[in-house]
Amino acid sequence: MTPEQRYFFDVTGYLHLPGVLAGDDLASAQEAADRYISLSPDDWPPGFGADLERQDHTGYEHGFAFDKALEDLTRHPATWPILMELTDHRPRFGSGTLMRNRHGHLFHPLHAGWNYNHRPDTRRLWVEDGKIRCTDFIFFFYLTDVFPGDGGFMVLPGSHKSNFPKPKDMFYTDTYYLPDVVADEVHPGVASLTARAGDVLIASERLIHGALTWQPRDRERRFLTLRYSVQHTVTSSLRPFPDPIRERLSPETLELIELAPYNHVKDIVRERCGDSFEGHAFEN
Amino acid sequence: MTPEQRYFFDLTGYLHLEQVVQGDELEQAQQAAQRYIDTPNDQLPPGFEFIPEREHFNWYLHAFAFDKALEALAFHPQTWPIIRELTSGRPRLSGGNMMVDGPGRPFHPLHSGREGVRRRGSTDARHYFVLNGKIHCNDLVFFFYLNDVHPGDGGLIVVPCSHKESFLRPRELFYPGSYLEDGGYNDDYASAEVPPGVVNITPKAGDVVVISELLTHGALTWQPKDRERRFLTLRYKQQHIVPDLELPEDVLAKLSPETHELVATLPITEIKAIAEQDVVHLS
Repeated sequence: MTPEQRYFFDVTGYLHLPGVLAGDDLASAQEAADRYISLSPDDWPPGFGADLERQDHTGYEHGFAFDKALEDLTRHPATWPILMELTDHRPRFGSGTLMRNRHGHLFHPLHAGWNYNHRPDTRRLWVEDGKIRCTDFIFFFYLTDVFPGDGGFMVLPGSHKSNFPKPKDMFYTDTYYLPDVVADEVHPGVASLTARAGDVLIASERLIHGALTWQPRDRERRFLTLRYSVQHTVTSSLRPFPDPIRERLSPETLELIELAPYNHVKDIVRERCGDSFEGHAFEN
Repeated sequence: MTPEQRYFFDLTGYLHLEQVVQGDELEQAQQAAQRYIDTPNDQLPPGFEFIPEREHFNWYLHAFAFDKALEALAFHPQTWPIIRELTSGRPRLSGGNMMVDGPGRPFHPLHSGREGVRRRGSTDARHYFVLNGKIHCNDLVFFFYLNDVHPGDGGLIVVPCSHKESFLRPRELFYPGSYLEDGGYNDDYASAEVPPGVVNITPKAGDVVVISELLTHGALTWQPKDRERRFLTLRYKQQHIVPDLELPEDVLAKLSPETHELVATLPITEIKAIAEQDVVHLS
């Protein structure tokens, strides 16, 4: 991570990386996502699926595994160094859902994978030897453009370090699936993040986030949500990927999804980090 | 403080209180400020002074003591409970200058009370922490706005959450070029941009903006040609933090007894009589 990225992520709890994907890489990822979304449920390959009745967005399960153009994003060269710093070279990939947000979807209230009175000993974030460590975080790879005023992803910058639980209904209602609620205002304290196709947003699971009501009628918000944790802590599922999905994955991805003890060094880490890994505290 | 104020201040490092000063109270404060501005330096009472273009603003020293309408703001009923909570019931008013930002004033680069000492290699005397559900902060600024600021005007900018920063801000982040190589302010730099990570706060006359001195803040280049930004800057510390500078005797002589007590330095073990009062009136 650069000093600027480190400062920004420490202060706000998120990062916006513009232009990570471009050209053929972006087009291939977009085309793969479109193919998955366009399939009728009867044609979903084994292991894939989506809750098409969900009212605030549609999550296409295991979207990352649908095509190699998407699977490769789990270890993209632009995000890999950040993955290494945040996990201190102990990464585990835990989930990769293709998300679709379109006009008519309901407001997605503010929430986080942690709060002040819940799971205090997991989903941690701290600074160590001048580096940021974070046990649980998300990479959002954007496949379509979001413009100011469109709605979509919003965060409460700084909430990853909050010392108080958010008062109920502060900023917006905390109740899900309210049909009459249109949240289109960005209140003081809230940041609306408008990523373009090919950008990546990174958020700590501690950061409170949600989605403003999606406004455009002729455009959708599509993004791949890749969730990571440290390899030695199980904060969600022990075995999150069913066999039909695992059978599609490359050996590198299979290693990336595995649990491992704290002192184990994954081959993918050793191989990809090369010289930068030598002399790391792991080895001592 | 309300739970919402406590949450927001902990989250961001600032509060924007709307319409704190209204009606006659606001009008009298505005008129007092105008009188100070209209008085030539050689006709000001002893202890008061106008300093043009000090750190990019016009400064009117000790303006809080210039008129009772301004002095009373130090105990305003809407800010007093916040002052008492944030200073752990041990408040000290360390100063109250009025600042005026006008057309042609340059960009005021991002800075904070913590950043300054860190860059000089010193340890940090300013604290922010939460204990038993209350925020404790030993260095605060209350900006009482005397005229309107509208979106696009420029003015106060902050980096929300920087009061909890773990790293020294790379100087070129957000506004590259706003500092000189020797670390001084670049007076030729201008910007009205609000990059991601920065928030421009636009208070109206009578609003109060509260910040921790740990919060990184600055000011965008002032855009309007026909309007100024006038605000009284009241600085509060905890009573046991020894001041760098004492207020001049001539200024102290003008203060009401309650304000005398407010500006006094005391040990942490003592509680000021005013700090035990929910509402303080100047006698």
